[in-house]
Amino acid sequence: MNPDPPPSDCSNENAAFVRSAVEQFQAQLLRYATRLLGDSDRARDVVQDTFVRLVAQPHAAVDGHLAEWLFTVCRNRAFDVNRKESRMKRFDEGAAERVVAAEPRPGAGLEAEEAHVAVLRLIDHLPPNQQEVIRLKFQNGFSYKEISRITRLSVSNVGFLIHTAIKELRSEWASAEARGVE
Amino acid sequence: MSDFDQIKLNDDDPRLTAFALDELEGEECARIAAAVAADPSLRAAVEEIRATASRLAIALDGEPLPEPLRPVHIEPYRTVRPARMFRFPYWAVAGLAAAACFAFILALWDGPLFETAPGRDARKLAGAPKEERNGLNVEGAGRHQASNHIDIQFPRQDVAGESQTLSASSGTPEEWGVVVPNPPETVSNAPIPAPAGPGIGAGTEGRLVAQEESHGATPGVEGARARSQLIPAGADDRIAGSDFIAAGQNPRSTFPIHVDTASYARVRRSLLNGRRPLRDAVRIDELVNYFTYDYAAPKPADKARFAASLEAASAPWAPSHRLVRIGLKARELPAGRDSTDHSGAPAIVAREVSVQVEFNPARVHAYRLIGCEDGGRRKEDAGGDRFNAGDVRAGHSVTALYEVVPAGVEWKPEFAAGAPKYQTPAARAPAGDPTARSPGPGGVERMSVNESASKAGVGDPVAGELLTVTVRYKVPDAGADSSIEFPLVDLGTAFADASNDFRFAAAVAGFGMVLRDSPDAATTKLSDVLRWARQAAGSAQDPRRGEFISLVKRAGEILPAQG
Repeated sequence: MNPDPPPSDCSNENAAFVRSAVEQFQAQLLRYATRLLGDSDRARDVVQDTFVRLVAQPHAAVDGHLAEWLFTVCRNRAFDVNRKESRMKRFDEGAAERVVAAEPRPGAGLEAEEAHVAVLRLIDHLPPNQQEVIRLKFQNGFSYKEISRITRLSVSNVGFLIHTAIKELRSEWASAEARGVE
Repeated sequence: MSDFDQIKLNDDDPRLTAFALDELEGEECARIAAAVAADPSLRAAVEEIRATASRLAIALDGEPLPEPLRPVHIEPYRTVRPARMFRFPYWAVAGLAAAACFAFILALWDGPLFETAPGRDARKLAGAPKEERNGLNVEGAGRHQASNHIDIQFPRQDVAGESQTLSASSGTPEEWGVVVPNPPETVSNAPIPAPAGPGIGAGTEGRLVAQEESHGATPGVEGARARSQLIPAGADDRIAGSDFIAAGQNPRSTFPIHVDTASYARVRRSLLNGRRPLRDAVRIDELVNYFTYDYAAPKPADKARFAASLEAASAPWAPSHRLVRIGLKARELPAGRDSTDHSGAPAIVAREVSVQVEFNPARVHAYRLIGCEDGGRRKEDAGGDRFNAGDVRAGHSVTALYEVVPAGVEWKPEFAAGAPKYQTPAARAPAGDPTARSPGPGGVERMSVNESASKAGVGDPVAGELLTVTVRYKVPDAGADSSIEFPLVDLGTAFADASNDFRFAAAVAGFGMVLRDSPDAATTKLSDVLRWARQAAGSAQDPRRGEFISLVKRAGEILPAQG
């Protein structure tokens, strides 16, 4: 069949590119997919599928917007999986608890950790569509435009969701602080 | 723009949030900015939004990563789903550019990683001889069509640098530099139930992996759990060498006028996710250019389109070397003429800009441009008005750092870029090379020609210069070539006495070098970088500099050995 091409600098570069992508994005994608699916096992499969698709891409096709591409493919695959299994299980409460295991980061003070966990709890109470967009923006660093392309929402829709979520969180914080609660 | 008065923003306008999060551009951004500037309550709201965003980012950053990335534990299976071997159809990607260079298979399986039992054959080559590497039996008894594939598995979190699995294709593992890991102490004996059906390549005990029929270009994968690390052969063998260039032989250097900043975002993302960025993702010139520095623009009365801000001091990671910071700033346009009508971007003030740095061999033994390992990448321009590479907009600035081995300082030329690796020092020096010396003990060449030259040139202004920066460009719509020269005389300033901007840029470069395991900063620790950055942060509350300091601290948690 096909002769085995000798390893060349080119093959090492492409391999290095894929490896770099896996190392950089696997964790975030897993976290994102777990939220979408509510199930870390299926999330792992979806993330594998995503990187399989990446392997088939010429480097140039994704260069410059790799993260956005990965999240888009991951999201589409997650929804396919959900549809196929007729289970629209987004933001399942149980799954959310599994992901947010309250382990303090090494070196972080206990108070700071409590505050962070409190914030995460607040975020978890947001509606699922706001949560997804908030995480894409503030956890994964995407811009409104990128989020719009990943989620297929309009940019103004994205902006509205983020605005609403931030407004909600601002007022929750304000009232929590007024009550003297951490 | 009388539209400004028509903007009635209240606190609850999504545009205000978008503006606060730097999501607006062009005219809309300018309008909102003006409305905010005019109204203290809006300004306060913007601050609150940003503070909220910041807290969100920090809290979300602290959210733990999903469990599969923790170290692999060998344990009985929790799932009865069959592990599948996924074989990537080589022919389907043969037409793709990428495929011309490699063929991958993702082997995903739910079982213990390092089995020594003969059942591992499905991952091995048909007919390949049995061989033992690093204590692991690699059996070639696979029954499937091996043809061209390499198994790649997904990263394990804390095995950076540890060799992982690859099984090579076509019986030539040597070509691919296969390294096979040592098996762990405990091996689970729980069998993987293999589904009955065609194409089962498992050997004994159903221990392995069924063949999956390919479903076209991108078959899905089911049921398997990724385990180990993906390392193509050879990629880790490259150790980025030091790349000083001898000034006597090659006194001229250049750097790009536009530098992307995407590397900083990538590095930040990795670190915030608790992962060390890959060496190749760390481009030091991009890290340095992510920050803004206070370079003076040419005065409006000057004809010149550029001003340079040159500074030299000792390199903090190598105090006997000099660090030179070259900052270039394009002229600003007078108020009212800032934007082009259709794009809102500042006007182009110079075209076909190129920069040359010429080092004085009497003062400089060797130099290296920090960060442009692959020539740099151009930042995408959003202006759209016939913007070509080499076009520069009003107010644009760029920073380049050079590390210089000054005349009179020992330098080991075997580290020079392009120097052959396996020659004796005497054989290395070409005949007639004025900087060549007979090797002293230990093979280190010492200098004396340059020393005497520099002594002789002490009174001569040109000979006293360390380097000259020349910027060439065309004025738009004028056509004539212009060039400006900026010489630099090194006053021997110590690092601690250099400007804040200089020392901060050095800290950023040092950070990049630590992340890249650069041999030029082999003794530098992240705590050094942190100290330099803190001492250089200055009184201005630049949020990017503050964030950099947190990133360095975060890196210290992730890479304690380099802290």
